[in-house]
Amino acid sequence: MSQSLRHKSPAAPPRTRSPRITWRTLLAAKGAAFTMPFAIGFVILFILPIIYAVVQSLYAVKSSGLGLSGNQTVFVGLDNFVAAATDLRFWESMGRVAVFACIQVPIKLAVSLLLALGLDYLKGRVVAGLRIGLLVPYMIPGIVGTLVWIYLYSPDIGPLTEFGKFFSLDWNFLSEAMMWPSIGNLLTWDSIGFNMLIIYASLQAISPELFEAARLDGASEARIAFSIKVPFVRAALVLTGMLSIIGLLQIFAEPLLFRSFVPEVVTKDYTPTLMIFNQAFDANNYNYAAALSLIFAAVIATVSYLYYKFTNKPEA
Amino acid sequence: MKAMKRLMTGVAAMAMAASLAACAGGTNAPASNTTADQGIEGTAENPVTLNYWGWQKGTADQVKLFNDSHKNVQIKYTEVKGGADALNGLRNAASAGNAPDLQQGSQDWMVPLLAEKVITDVTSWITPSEKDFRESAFKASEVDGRNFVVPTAQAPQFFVYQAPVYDKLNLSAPKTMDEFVEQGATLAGAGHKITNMAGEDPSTLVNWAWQAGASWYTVDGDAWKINFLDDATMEAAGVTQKLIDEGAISTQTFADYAAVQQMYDKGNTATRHIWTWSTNGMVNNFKESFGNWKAAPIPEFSTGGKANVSPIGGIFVTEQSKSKKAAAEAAVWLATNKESVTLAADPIKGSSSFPVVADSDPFVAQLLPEKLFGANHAEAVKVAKEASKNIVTNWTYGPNYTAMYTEMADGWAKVITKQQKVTDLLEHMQEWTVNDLKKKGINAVDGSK
Repeated sequence: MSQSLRHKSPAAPPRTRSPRITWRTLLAAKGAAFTMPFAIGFVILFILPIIYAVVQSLYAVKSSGLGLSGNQTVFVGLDNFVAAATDLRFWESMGRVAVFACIQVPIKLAVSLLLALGLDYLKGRVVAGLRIGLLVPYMIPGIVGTLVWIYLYSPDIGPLTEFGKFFSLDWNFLSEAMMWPSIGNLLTWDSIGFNMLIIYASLQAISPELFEAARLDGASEARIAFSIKVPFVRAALVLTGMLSIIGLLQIFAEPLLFRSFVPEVVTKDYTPTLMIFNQAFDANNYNYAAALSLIFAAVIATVSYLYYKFTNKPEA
Repeated sequence: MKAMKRLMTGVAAMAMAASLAACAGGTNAPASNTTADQGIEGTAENPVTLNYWGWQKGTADQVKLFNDSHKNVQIKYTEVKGGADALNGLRNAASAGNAPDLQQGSQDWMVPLLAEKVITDVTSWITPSEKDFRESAFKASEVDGRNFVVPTAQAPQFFVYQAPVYDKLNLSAPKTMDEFVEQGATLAGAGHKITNMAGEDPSTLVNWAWQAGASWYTVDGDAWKINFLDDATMEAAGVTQKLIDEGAISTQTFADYAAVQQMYDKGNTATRHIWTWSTNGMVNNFKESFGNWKAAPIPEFSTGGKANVSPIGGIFVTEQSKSKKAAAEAAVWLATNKESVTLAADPIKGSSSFPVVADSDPFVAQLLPEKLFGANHAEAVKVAKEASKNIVTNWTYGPNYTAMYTEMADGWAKVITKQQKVTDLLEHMQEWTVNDLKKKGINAVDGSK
């Protein structure tokens, strides 16, 4: 293309009807070229895997007779999706994490918000120290954090059991009833600093004149916090809320580790990702796992969309 | 494992769900040529190199012995994580087309891997050495009259108990399972548990059903006949249920291995059905009960008699191996060569693996730690030798056994926590197993009706 351009342009004055490339188009192409690294990654790591999963989900591995003469992969249409739609365990696991998310996310956000407001109120040098301190759990790799907490919870060797005995409390943090609160505590501990920082950052962006005006009008610090600061960090709350929900629905590493200690509580289908993982790598049913993954991705997309739609209304 | 890493570090929602879906999409390797194909044979100048994946202690040294004494064939050993991880690792490698030539594994993998065309028929290369193997071990390596694994280990099961606890209560080793249940109640009255059943591990129920003479999977013409509800299984289920109901068992998870061993050491749990290799863990973790342990034959069910239950461990030759004959012969050498077997059986240098050789008696004394049995050692050796002669091979692992076992483990947890009965679990497994086989296109009939 560029060759033919070069060839033509010096020869004759451009004809008005010829498809010329304007500097505007070139500039746009140049701009687009800068997104190539992202676009390539996006296609390879995102679009292609999804297409691959869609293809996989339409097939199933079938054997015949005694099943000793090898397998064949056959096209089964939507069979895997029909099976998934009626697979109670899948939907139960989904319900389990949904209920958990509805309880844990608000608690976590409320605590993060309070901490952020506290930091904002304190200001100055204390803040730097606190900020780092609260962020430390977030910097610890999730697996390590989980192992530390499993040790703390352990009814056999954990200090919390001894601590409970001291007050004649007979608690077991790894029992069926306590499993979600225990995981919830761990996740809150882990992510509170991160959420707090995002909220705190958006607090910093509020124009100080607003506070000045409020103070002149005689508003207390509490009043300022709830009438000015909270509405202003609404967008940040929506964002952290959405990230938390998405993260929670996909909860995997924590239950997987808990499972190795209390398999009778954390069963193989405890959360959707755990179930998908077990279908793929234990039951060796890749095709079904692909179908479950797609359904799961669709559910997450829907939940995220609805959440965003209902919480992020433009300010009146 | 890449999938796991990706999952754990995942950032954004859709990207994560998508990558999960991607990982879930493996294809099965195309079914390849016939098993008659022997593959490449090595020469001294140009030796064949076999890849061998395993995890047991001492295997690396066995391989060294092999390499030192063979010129045409050399083995390259890779240590992998054992158990279910090794099985999945092999499956993934086979899907990717780079399975090792040889893989350490256990009997329950055989039919599933055969169904997936991961392993190959070794009949023609193992048959010339048939007389070198214990008959029960050789038999266990067969499906439908063909051999699909080279057996390397088959430990007889026996019963061990803390003598001081038994003496105090005036008990002697139980002869029958009914007696075992009675003793459970007596021990519970005195603050002891008779045995441990971990919530994640239904193997006790499996072994007892097997011992009582059940067979959950049988080949019936062109179909698998599934029966989890026969009389033998019901007898095993009855015993298990009684022990659970009477609070006669401890339920310590094996995930906390130290805690399990401490429980036995202190006599809180006083008996154990055990295979020779498990004595190793006891010796390494005990502090105070050395010399207190006595061995006896496992208590008998009213059906099944002296039947002794023991799955084999072995070496598989993969379908993808380019030198199947050399691989199978190397496996036979590792399983039967005296030096190699001695090494595997060593409690310190090896893994206390009970040999599958025709005459295993000379190895038994060293397999059982003297420290554990003290003055009762000679008797324990006698018990183990006798037990090794009663191993039965009426058990077949079906093509979906590994998935079945995971499903069963989930329900077993509910049995242990008394949320359901053993019979509820077995009824569920009956239905689940038949359906799962049919879903995979395999012929299955419900043998319980």
